[in-house]
Parts: sequence; C-alpha cells; structure tokens
Amino acid sequence: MAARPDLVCVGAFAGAHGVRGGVKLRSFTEDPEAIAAYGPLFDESGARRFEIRLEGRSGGLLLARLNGVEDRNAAEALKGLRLYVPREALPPPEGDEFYIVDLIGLAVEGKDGEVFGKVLAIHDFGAGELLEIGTAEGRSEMIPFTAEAVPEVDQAGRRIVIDPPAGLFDEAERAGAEDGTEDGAEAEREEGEKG
Amino acid sequence: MSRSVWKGPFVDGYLLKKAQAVRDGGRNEVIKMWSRRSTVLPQFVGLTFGVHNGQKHIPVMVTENMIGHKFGEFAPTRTFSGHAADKKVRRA
Repeated sequence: MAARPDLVCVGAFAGAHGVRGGVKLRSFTEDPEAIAAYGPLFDESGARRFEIRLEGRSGGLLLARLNGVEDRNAAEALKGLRLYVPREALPPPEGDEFYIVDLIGLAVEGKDGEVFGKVLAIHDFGAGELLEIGTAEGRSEMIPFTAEAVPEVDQAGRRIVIDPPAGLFDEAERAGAEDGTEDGAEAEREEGEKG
Repeated sequence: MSRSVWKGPFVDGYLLKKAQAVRDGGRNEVIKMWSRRSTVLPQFVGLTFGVHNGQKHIPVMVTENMIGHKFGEFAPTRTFSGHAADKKVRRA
C-alpha cells in the first residue's frame, strides 16, 4: 500500500527487545530521539496508531515500549513496519530553510517558464546542498541549492524556478551524451598531453 | 605514505589553464572536468567546477575549507540519499 502523501516516514521497527514487549526502532530523523517528539506515530495507511516511550539505545537503534504490545511475539510481528507522522506535526522551518520532504516532487521550471522536470532528491557531498532534478527525458541533473541558481521556491504552487549557471546544462554536450559521441575525458587527456 | 612535500600538490595542467581562462573572463560559468585526481588549490576558491562522477557532472563550488582535498571527494560515484524524514536544508 502506498503511503499517504500527508504522512512523512520517520522510522521503522527493527525487531523485538526482550520478552516483555520492548521493540527496537530505526530512526530516520536528524536527531534520532526526535522520532518520539512529533506525537503519535502511524503506519503507512494511517490506520494504526502507536504511542511510543523511548527507553534507551542499543548500537544504532533505539529501544522503546509501545502501548498494547506486552510480549515478544507481538513485538516481533511489528518488525519491518514503517512509522509515519503527519506532515503538519513537524515544526515550521526557519527563514530560508526547507524540509527536504517539501522540496521532493516540486516541478522545476526555468526563468522563462520552460519545464525541466521535478526534484528527485537533495544531496550534500561536502560542497553544499544540491538538488537532483529528474528531467522529462529521463536523465537526472544536479544544481546547487543557492539563491542564484534557485531564485524562487514556491511551495504553495508546487514549483521551483531555476537559473542554472552557464555551462551546467550544456545542450550540445547533452545531445552528444545521448547519441554516445561525448567523450570529455578523452578530450581532456589529449589536451593535457599537448599542454 | 603521504606524498613528498617537495613535489607540491598534483593538478592536471589543463585544469589550471581552464580555471585561469574563466577567472580572466570574469564569467560565472561551470568548468566541466573529468580530473577527479587533481588537488583543490587556493586559486580555485570561488569557482564552480562540474566534477564528473562517471555519469554526470556534479557542481562543486570551491570554498577555502576544500583546499588540499581532491576534486573526486566531492563527487561520489555512488549515491544514497536515505530518508528525508525531518531533515532540513538551507538555501545558501
């Protein structure tokens, strides 16, 4: 069953702990213990509700107890179940901050209204945040998440406007890559040998 | 074993030329490069390089803390974005 779009995945049950209904949780939140800070958790359909009490840590996992889970069998039955919170349970971001879940899926347009595709993911490889854009042709491109490259983020309109720096989306090279004629590494090597 | 100091940092020669050309031109353009082995030098600070990761060019805006690292460190060849959950990003 697909998760409801108004729910955000924050963790998953990783297994049972002990014989009295304790569970191990894998947290996906920035601060792992914040998984318990957003109120009750739900399954992906939103039908099952879990009240959790954190009791400690074990390795990279959290130890917790749930209301209504009193023995190991019940705890083991939950293994693998993903936990969600409603999007409105997250506190509003400050200033020029955005939740990654709010950015993923936004339509990407150029300044002239040309449609590029949509946001697939946000990465940080150590040189600043990057938006990964899935283009209409099925490729993926990266663009820095800066005020110059992404001048407008319109969350209400579900779109962002980008102004890619010159040379980032090179039309000629793109065409070459598609028909297999691009070999920039080879060209660089030749250039290096000459120089 | 680390590289001998007397050799200096390694940079592919054509990269220096490309960077100099962009700097002289005063343009704000991405310098496409495949030389992941080259070291980030102080004269690259402020420039944006498109470092190839085997599939595409990853934009790398060079800052002072990146000096001495290799370009390839900022363009991983395998990526895993994980779960977004409550993670936030700030627009620089």
